[in-house]
Amino acid sequence: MRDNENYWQRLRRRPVSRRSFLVGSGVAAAGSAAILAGCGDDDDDDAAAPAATQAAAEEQAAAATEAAAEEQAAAATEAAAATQAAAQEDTGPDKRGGTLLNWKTEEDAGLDPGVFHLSNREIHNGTMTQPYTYQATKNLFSMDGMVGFEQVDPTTFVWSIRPGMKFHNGDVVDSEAVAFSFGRLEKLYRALDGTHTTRTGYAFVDSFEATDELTVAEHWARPNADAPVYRAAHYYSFLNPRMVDEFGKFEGSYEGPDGVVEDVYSVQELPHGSGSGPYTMTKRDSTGTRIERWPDYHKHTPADDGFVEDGPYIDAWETRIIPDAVAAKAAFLAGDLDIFTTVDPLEVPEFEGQDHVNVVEITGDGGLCMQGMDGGKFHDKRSRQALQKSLDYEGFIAAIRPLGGQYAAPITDLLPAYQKLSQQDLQEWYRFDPAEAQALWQAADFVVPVENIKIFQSTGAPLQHEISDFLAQSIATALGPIGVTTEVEAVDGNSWAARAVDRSTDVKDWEILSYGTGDRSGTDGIPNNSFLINYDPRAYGFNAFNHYLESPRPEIAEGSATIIEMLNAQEAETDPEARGVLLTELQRWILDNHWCNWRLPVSSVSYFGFSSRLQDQGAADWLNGYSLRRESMWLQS
Amino acid sequence: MAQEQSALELEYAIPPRQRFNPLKWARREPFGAFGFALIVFIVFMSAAAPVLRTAPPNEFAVGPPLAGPNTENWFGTTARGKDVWSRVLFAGRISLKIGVATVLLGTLGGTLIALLSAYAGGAIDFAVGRVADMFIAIPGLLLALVLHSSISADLPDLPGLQNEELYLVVAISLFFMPGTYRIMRGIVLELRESTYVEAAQVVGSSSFRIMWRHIAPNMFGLMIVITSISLPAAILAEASLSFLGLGVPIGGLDAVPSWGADLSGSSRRFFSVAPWLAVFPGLALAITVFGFNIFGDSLRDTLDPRLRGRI
Repeated sequence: MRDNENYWQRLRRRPVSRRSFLVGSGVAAAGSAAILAGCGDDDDDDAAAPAATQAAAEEQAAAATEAAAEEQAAAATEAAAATQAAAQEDTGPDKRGGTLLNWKTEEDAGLDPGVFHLSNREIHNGTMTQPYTYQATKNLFSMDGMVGFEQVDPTTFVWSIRPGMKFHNGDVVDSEAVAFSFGRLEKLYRALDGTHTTRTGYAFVDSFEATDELTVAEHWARPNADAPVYRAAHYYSFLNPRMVDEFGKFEGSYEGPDGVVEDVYSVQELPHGSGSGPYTMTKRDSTGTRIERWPDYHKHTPADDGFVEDGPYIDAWETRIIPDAVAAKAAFLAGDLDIFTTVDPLEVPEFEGQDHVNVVEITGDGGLCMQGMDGGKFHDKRSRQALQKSLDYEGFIAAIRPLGGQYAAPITDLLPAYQKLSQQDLQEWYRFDPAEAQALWQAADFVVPVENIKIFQSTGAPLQHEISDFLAQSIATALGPIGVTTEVEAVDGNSWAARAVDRSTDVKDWEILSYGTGDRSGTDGIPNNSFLINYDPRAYGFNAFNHYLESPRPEIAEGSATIIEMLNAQEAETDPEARGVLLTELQRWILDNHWCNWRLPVSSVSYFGFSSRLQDQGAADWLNGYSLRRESMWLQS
Repeated sequence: MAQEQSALELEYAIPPRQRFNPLKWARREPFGAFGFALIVFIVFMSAAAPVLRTAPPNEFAVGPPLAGPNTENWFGTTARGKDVWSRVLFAGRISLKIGVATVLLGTLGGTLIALLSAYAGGAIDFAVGRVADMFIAIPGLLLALVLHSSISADLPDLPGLQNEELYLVVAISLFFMPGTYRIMRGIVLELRESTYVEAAQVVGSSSFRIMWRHIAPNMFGLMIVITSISLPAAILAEASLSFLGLGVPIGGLDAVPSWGADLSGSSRRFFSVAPWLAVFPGLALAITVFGFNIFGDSLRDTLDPRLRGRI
């Protein structure tokens, strides 16, 4: 009987069932989608648009590059004058107040300024005092905790501390506290068997000495051209010794040059009273941090560029933890964040269409896009060269830097006084040659056999995945025919950092450590930090990449001795011309020896997003962290 | 006498088994037939992906970045110039593979446990029931996260099912198994009290024989119905886990495209300027789930009309 009925006859007698509901919903959804698609913009020129955008961006990049040097200089001078004038003006009630809304991808793992941890800079910069800021784009020192410094002789440097400063618990900031803060870095480094602190910033120092209540002298073992700039970093925050005594966590013991063993303590929680900065920390949990104005903050008289005599204009900083950059972008575009520094060049048209958003363009070296090679495995330079011959550089630029890419040298081209290698020069080292890569790999000596290359990266930046993916594919294409496989492993930032610096064995549990997306320009003005430290056998070369003086692999130990000598020579050279020559030799040596790290092509233009209410943000130096200490930033109501 | 016998034979004769007529079924269940056609279409497209693709799915810069649909790249390209059409085709493979494997494991496992525990009854049935309750009480996503951090690295590579894929199968199956167990347990309890089972017990059939020959065959129809209804949910679960980064790896030469993963990751940054990145993988996912859903509904009506509207 039932077979004689058809569906429509039954449908008439039946109430709404799950199936009919599903069918109806599907049809309605499809219809709605079709209507919505039809109501969209006329996309006839879809295919042409990206090409046009690309062409326009290339033109812009070319024009910007040509004009960059002159414009930057002029703009920097103008900006400095304008900001200085603004700082000298009446602060005005309209500038003061508000909460700056920032974000970060994960919780910090510790706050001691002498121990490197990720995601804690907003706390250091807000709650602590540093000697000064250095704006590389203006070549300008702006005094903070110091009021002056003097190079007395090639190996003696003297600081004058700002009088009247107090820690948040009322303790006086004096030369003892400052000498303690600077001197503990080496001790922490020893006790922790190598923290990430930029040791090159104090490795040349014999001692820090409090000569009177407001004067500290540094005695150096050898001259160092970058010493003043180093002291602008957050590691040199003034830390209250009493808080370390009371709340410090034992980290280990340190035997000084005089043979005296000293216990070393850290303050990872940074209890109230540790700092003397313009803000105090009022919140720190898994959702983020908050710092609020400290009412007894000392006066900045006179206020240099970036500082305000009566303390920062902004009342508080709220930093939310948003692990997903796409969610952060959505929050930024919705007006819930004031800062979004990871703008992809392809997103710029979308950002520029928003009234409440400012996109700042910075041309030049896109920053870190490094592939660190484990010296425990790749001790033979032919193996490292084989890897570097396995990347399709032109393909990489086309895919990852479609709106403008450039080859990258061991030091940034944002330091034109030092960078003498041209793009043509660099192309000599960066050539895709699978056949030669295979020959080199097969000829190379491996103490630990390498059949699979694990590219190890942290999660967070989506572009990092694309970079690792491309690299994995390219190496597999080049070395796959001789049996080499590739894989990508991504973990959270803190786990990544822990495994990156794990020195429990002579070899790492990865082959290539991938870090940096190369799309954010920035330099603090020091060749070491931009980016020689990554090749230095006393710094990251040692703790992250197994390229160090005491390496059990003779080639690595020998190379380490050579590069340390070259690094020391350029560091000690104070004449920029002569230093430029030394730096060029050093870079050539690194590239010829495929030493330790491999910089992939970077963006030739970078973009930062700021809310339009955030004024005087010092965008050009933002990535150096100095802009986070810019007290003259203010929020337009 | 002969006439009487003939009348009796006619009355009690077992009617001849009707042959399944697909056309007749399609006329009776047009939406089911449409769903089946969609499934066949998706399976065909996925199977023929190596032939139908216009570029290797993981290859970078096969077209300009974020190019809209065009004659070269039919579904447009990603921000890194990957071909969306090819990725959508290949992604169907992982969705179907994980969906089928998950449902087989979840449904067969749930049915088997239900059969054994409900037939045994007593303390065993009580204990198994409470374990199922426990799993039902744990949110599926939380369970998947816990499994991801605890067992995913230790799972082996099986033939045709890599470590990460096996994790997905286990995580999703564990989510489905308790539900299947509950439904099937009710059926077994009902069947256990039926007269033909009592008759089998009287003649001394072993428990295994009773379960295998008398109860299990009567669960088969419902099992198929549950399978067909769970499959789209499993495909969605795979997409959801991949969207959250807990699915198949999205990097590397042999990375498997997944609709869920393609709706996640860096693609999301560009949805507003390049909607094709969301539309095509989303549409493929929706069509597949829709097809399985309406086919499953029709199958349920056909195999067990008593359940209409109940599952």
